[in-house]
Amino acid sequence: MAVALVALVPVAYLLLRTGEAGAERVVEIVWRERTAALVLRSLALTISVTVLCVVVGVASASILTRTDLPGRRFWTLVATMPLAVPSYVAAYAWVSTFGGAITGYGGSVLVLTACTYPLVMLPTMAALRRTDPALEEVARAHGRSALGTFCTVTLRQARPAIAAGSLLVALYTLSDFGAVSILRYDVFTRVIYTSYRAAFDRTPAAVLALLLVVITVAITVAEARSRGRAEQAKVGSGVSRPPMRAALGPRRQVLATLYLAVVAVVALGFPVVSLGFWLLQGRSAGTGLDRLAGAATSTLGVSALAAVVAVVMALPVGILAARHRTRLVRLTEHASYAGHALPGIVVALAMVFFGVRVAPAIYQQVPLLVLTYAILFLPAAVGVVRASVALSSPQGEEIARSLGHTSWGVLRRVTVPLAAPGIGAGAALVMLTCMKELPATLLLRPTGMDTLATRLWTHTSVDEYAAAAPYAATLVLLAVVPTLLMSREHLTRPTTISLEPS
Amino acid sequence: MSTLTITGLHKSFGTTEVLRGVDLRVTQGSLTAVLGPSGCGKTTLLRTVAGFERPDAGQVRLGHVEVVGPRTWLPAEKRRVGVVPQEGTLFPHLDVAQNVGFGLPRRSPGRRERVQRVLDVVGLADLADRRPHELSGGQQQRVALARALAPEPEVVLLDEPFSALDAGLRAAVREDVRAALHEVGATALLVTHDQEEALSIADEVAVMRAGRVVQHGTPQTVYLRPADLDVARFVGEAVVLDARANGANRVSTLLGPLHVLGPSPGVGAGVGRVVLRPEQILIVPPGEGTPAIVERTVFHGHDSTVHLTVHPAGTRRGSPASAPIICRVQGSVPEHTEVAVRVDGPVVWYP
Repeated sequence: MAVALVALVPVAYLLLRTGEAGAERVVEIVWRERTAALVLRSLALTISVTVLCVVVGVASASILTRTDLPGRRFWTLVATMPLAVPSYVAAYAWVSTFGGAITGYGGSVLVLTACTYPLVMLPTMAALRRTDPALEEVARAHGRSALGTFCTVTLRQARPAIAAGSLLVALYTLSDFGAVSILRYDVFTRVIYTSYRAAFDRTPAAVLALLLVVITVAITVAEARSRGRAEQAKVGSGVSRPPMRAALGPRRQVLATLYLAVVAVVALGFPVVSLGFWLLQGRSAGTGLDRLAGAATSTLGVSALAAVVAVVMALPVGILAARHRTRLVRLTEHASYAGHALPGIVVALAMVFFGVRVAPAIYQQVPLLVLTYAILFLPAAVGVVRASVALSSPQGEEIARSLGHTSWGVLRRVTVPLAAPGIGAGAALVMLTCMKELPATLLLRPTGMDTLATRLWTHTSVDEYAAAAPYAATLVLLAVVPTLLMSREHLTRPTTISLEPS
Repeated sequence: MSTLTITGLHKSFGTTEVLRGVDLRVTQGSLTAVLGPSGCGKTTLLRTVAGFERPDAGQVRLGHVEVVGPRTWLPAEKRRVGVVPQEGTLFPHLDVAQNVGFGLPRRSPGRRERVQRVLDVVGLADLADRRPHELSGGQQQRVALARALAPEPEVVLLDEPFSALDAGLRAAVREDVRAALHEVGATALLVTHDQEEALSIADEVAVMRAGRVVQHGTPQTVYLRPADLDVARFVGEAVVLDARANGANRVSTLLGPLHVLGPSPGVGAGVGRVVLRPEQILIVPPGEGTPAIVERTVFHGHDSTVHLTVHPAGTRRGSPASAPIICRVQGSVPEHTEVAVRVDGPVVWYP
């Protein structure tokens, strides 16, 4: 419960701060023409990016899982790698090359689509692999063509996965701060930041942040509603056969390869080349390696701390969620997922209010920054803990009890040994995510402390692209690790240990 | 090993009464099978004895120790009860020897010998270093038994231990488990919905229905003298015929006068029903018994079930007096053959 309360602190403070401003003032800010334009711009960007991601993601997933294209493993890896490019690094790569020509709506759509289409592609691939080939065979036997079967039967089965991926993309786009700021496109996150920085009166920032929360929550709820109860029904257990693959033929193989190559060049090739170019430039200009080392050290320090705090906070919720599905537990779990729908800039702003008002001693100090990271990434941590704890079955724990072990002994000898590797990996993932975090770091970092992300931000905002390059490169390298892990999971059959007989 | 005594056990989940006063005694060193359809409360009974569920009322005693009573509740780890779950449920992070030794104190002297000894008993001595996922289903089940036996429990509880196994493997593993339990003289309670399993493996069978034990006795008693018609139908295939009492130990039925076993209807007991088993019905040449017509033969491999319609002399096919019966034969009988049937051995009467 305490964990849930901590997770809800940001929302509470935003409400409090907005409430203090008085209803009249809030209504006045919300009904401004500028606010309406802001909402429209944000929605336009979100919808454009989501639709494009669905098109690119589903097309890539279909080619990679359902055709006999040569080099599928290679292309799967290449198509997953854009996840390793933080959106603001991609934005930096484009802006540093094309300057003003790429800023605004078009550039933002391009960069965000390139960075997030794997979020649709990966779940779709997983779903396309899981579908029962028997269903397709039945459709074919009833006279449907191969393509017709794919569109009407196979993709329908993958629809929940596509919807889930689209939701991730939409939430990512709405809460993205770095890319839209570098590309100077005024959507919610950027306007909240500038109005927080520019004006002495922070009420507009709070009101806009709350409005953004309302939109993200509405999108999440709408997605959950549309999913409804009609999940794909699978009768019988396990798919024993791999799915059918379509034979492409030489002409279509070339077309498919060309398509994948274009996507890869835009999403991965260009940022990498641009980064390489600026790295070389910077080397000749001579960038301080010690500053890079300093930023890297402090980034590692706060991120590791935040990962530990997040996992410790997630442990009780995750264990309870995996074991007892009571109402109270579900509520607690949902509360800790709040951070998922809350954009980083919103949580950061709320924590600023919280820090100034309640804990001035730690405002712009490491503890508050760590706490903010922990709240932001609590959902990820809870998910990991829950999945890891679920590895040890309740039956196994009962057996251990009957063999004479106390509940503490069971925890020590069964539950923890089984869950520890997963929780460890989860902590590492949270840590890597913290290292890339930008808006909360900008708002809450201790004076004088720099992380890799903030150095990149500072240099880019004054057009020092060569100086920014080492930081961008380090960030990409850091993000490559979990991305490789994730794509490996999709390349090989997952070998999960279970308590069931083989 | 001790005698397990269960008295007046009650347990409800919400408004659903699962156990409604269960009484059961498993004598020291014997294997008792609790047989019942799914939902009869047999698994709840086992979980209550193990200490995984807390009953609303009743008493459970292991030897002279009360583990569940009005004011007693011994937690699972203090009961010395071994459990073999449905799917083995071995700890995936431990090898076979570590799994088996899980219930033994870590640095106790003789731990290794004890592990080796019980692995010998279940016939897996050479697999001590394997991981659970490297074992077949039957081997996993036997390791689970070894794990339960290792700490020398007062009683071993087996929860449908063979139902997850392939049909071919099931009989062999069942025999191994029975032999292992007998070798160590274990008091064992086995829960199953499979009557063949219960009858073949157990020393005693307790039939459970709707939260109560309705009959408890040797497999022979339960099969040949079921307590009521439902037990008769559940424990094996049954032929039920209308009957009229016809003097002490005699009833008259469609198949002629029959001898009644056990509680006999007195003269003037009126009408009731009798139960006989298919193997009691013999097919004889026409004229030597009650006439019948073969409707259908179902081939099982080791034998066949023949579905017949009986139509006693003076009635015609399809008249209300005729009745369907089944019997077992070797080989097969062509459909529509006119035969006669005779009953071998006594039947059981239910008023």
